Amino acid sequence: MPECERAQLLPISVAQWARRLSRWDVFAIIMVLGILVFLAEASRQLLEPLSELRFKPVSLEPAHLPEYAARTTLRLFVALFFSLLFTFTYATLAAKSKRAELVLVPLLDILQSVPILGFISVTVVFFMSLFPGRVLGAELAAVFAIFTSQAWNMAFSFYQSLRTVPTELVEASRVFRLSAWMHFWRVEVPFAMPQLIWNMMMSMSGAWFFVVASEAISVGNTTVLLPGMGSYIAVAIEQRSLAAVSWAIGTMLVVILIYDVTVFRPLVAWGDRFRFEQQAGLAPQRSFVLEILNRSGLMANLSRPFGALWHRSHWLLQTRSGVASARKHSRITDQVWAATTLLIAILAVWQIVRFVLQGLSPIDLYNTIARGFATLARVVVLIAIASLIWVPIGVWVGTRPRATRMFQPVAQFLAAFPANLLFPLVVSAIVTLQLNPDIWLSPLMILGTQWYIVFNVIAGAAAIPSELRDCCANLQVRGWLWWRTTALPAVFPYYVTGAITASGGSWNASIVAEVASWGNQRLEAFGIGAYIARATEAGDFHAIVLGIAVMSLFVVVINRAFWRPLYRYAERRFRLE
Amino acid sequence: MIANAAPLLEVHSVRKAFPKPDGSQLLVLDDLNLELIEGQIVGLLGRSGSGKSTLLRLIAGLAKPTAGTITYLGNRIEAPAPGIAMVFQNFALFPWLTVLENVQLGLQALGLPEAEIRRRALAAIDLIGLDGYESAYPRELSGGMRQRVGFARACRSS
Repeated sequence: MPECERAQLLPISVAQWARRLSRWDVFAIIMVLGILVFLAEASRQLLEPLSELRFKPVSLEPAHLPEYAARTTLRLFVALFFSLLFTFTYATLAAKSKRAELVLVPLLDILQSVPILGFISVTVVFFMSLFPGRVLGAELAAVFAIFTSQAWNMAFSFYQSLRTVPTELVEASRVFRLSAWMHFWRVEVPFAMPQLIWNMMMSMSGAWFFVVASEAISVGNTTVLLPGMGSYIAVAIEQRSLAAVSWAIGTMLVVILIYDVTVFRPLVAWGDRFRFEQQAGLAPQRSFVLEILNRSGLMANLSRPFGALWHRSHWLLQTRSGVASARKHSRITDQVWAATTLLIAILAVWQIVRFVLQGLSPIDLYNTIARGFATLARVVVLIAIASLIWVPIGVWVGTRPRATRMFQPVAQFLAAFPANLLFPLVVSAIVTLQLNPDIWLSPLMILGTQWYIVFNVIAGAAAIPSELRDCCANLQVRGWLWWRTTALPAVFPYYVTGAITASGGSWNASIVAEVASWGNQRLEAFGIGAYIARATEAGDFHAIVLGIAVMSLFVVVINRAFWRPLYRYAERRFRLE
Repeated sequence: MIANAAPLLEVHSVRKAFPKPDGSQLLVLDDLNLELIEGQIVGLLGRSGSGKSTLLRLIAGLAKPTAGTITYLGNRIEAPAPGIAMVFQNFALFPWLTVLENVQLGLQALGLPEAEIRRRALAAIDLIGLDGYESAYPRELSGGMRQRVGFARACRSS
């Protein structure tokens, strides 16, 4: 019986009191020291003057790779920390307050649709002026750029989870009169945790995908090459060094493996306990790092005071029942709120139009819209092809727990693979075979984003309740009948979630996919991504703003007109409960 | 009363053990024998975790015994057998299929003609007294009604 298998794992946590210094402690100490050394190594030079970067240009020597990898990883994790902070505040506010929701959710939609180059080009000057002449300013710009490639989907997932906390749990929490603070940490956050951890993993991969854009900053006259993997790749491509590109791929693989083992695997194994599922379906995830931390008595003793403090906070902040039924808003205040929001939106649109018209003519507008449609065609075709390929494979993998576990880290690495690393291959192929770049550069757009579809379909197939599977076996439902009545309906909501992210992500990826260069060979496809990339390089802010506005408009309109209705339909019709 | 005394189902010295994470075995059923003949209605009693569901899953062919044999009409059960149906604890209804479609599913798997499938499914729904609910979705039904749909789906003989 599965329950008994579970019980076997219990003694680890039950026997915590009976501890002496053990070999687990030694492992734990080594791990903590390792983290400290890593932080010290990676954060050196932060306060150095910017000119230092010119004296020590990014070198293609493999000996520098550990340092570059450490610095990039640190940036990624600092950005991830801020993304979490943002998620917990922004998404919570959006889920708790009707009025805030009215503004925050559409805003998140738009933020999600703005490509990373848009954020960099607009903010880099601001960040550099915060610490004039210091590396720190550029570092902040890079971290902010990485943050923008991580935060939105995490916030969105958290918001979705907060809105779908099962009524039973909310009611239980109300019966026991939990405070808002306690309800948040004891009910809502745990319920959202598995989804959130998964999104953090995807965010890390997404950030790698844009690592070149966020570290090798080049906006008009401002060019900064921050030491890191992104700049290394940028220089390798500029100097046409295949050896350096291979070194970069190898290093990335190692780095991703390291943080997968030390951070995400333990997180996933830990988050497994929060899965809201009555039946013991899949065998629990395991992680030896988590086991070391769990078994180390030293760790337990060190963390105890913090735990106690944490529990105290539940009492201290226990003021009123937090899950009280929604307060009544007066109609008039609501209308005033809506009107104010509308007014601000109109003013913002007016500002943008005025700014763009200062430097550009209506012909530019037609041109960008035409480019938008070109990119749209690519996205539609690519999503269709990716779906046809990945849905069957995803279902196959997802219904086999062992295959699922082996596939996860592979997909995580492939999702992180920056398009730039394929430039040498793609550019050479297009040039030697004389292919049309308008068509053959397109696959790069879906390189990183197709994995959202794969991941979600796998998750959906794995979530088919074991009872339904048994029922299919019992009734001998097989073959096409099985696909039609069981597999496809069950994964459909998951597929739609993945496809929404994939299509939005592909639009963003077009800025690095529609322009590919290898040394001085440069290929460009006709599309909105290439337009924004070129405008950023030239530092033409009017064109940048126009390009971003048009791209956001496309993404938001497609989301609202197509994906959202499809998602609502999928949720209404095919949700398992 | 009982015309044919030959057993429908024979469970012969069945043993079922589950592997534990530390490599040892958890024994759930040991040397279990059981015979069912036509017309019998048998209830299975036992405490939680004593292996009732495990035995049913073995008989349905959803799991394999560690040792021993189970035969149905003289044939050894290796995989789910066409004559053995199961009503699941949580009814296992497909939320995206209507009552009628849920009941039809098992018949479709038999590869019957469309008209026959419809006739038999409607007869089964009639039998359990859910007439008029054919196009309802499971989530629109009460717990008891859902269970009856599970029954209707299980009795897929003519």
